[in-house]
Amino acid sequence: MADLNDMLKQIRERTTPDQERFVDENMAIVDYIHQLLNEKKMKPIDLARKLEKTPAEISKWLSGTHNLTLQSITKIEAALNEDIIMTPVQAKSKYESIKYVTLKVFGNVNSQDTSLKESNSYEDFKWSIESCSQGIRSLKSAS
Amino acid sequence: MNNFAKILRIEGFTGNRVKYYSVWVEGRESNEFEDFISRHIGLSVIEEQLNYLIRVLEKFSNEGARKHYFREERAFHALPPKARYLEFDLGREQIRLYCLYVSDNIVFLFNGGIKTKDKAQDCKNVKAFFKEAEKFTQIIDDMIKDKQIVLNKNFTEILNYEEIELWLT
Repeated sequence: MADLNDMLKQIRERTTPDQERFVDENMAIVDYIHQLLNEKKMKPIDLARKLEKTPAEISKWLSGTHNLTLQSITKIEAALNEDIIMTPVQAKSKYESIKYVTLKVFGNVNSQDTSLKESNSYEDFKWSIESCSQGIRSLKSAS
Repeated sequence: MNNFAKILRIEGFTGNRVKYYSVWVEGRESNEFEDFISRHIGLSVIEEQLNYLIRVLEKFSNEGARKHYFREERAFHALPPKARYLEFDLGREQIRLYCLYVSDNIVFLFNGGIKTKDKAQDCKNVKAFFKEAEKFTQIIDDMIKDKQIVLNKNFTEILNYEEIELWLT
């Protein structure tokens, strides 16, 4: 008789990629729902009330080993007013943003001094304390 | 049930976030979890669900267990049972594995079967395994509380499992 390690290896090897994805996605969704409930200080029974389902049914939904339908997931999304699943396109549209921040940089650069114009070294610029303070204030207001 | 059982580590999962244990009852050919796997591995009717169960255990071994996956059996009696189970509910034959969740890092895997009735207590395939799991769970739980079973301070492993004998009668 094969030993336990061999049997577990056999089961892992026969598990198809779609079966792996099913478990992984199901677990990710359920874990996220539990996270949302914690953040909203709700218990599963509160969700059951909102969905007008029995506590036993919601407990089954949230067990992580129940085949949640898209319809059930969207009901939960509506009840919690949160996105639980989204496509990469939806996520990009919602979360990707580029912010432009303008910084004023102050320095004592004498534009008549041609040696400085040609210089690439920061050490050639002389900063006054006042200039640095103005720069810091600009930085804070821009962020 | 025979008089005593020993605790053993279940290896064979790739991660190390969970220490899995099972029990080996005196006189039986294998430990409870190994018996569960060997009885079901060749059954095509629950092949998919067994694959899912092992995948869940594998994920736990890499990420830590989560208590909400371990469901409570509807009580046979007034007190809530301590033994819990893992089961994939796909609306048809369901294979149920009884467990004891001690922490996110310590889980006991016992035995189980294919549930053929709505209620486990009416199903001859799982009723006996549930009763045994409940017995193991109560004994182990009491021994942890009495510190006969010693956990490390983070509750991530049992330090003295090789020395433990569970008295079942």
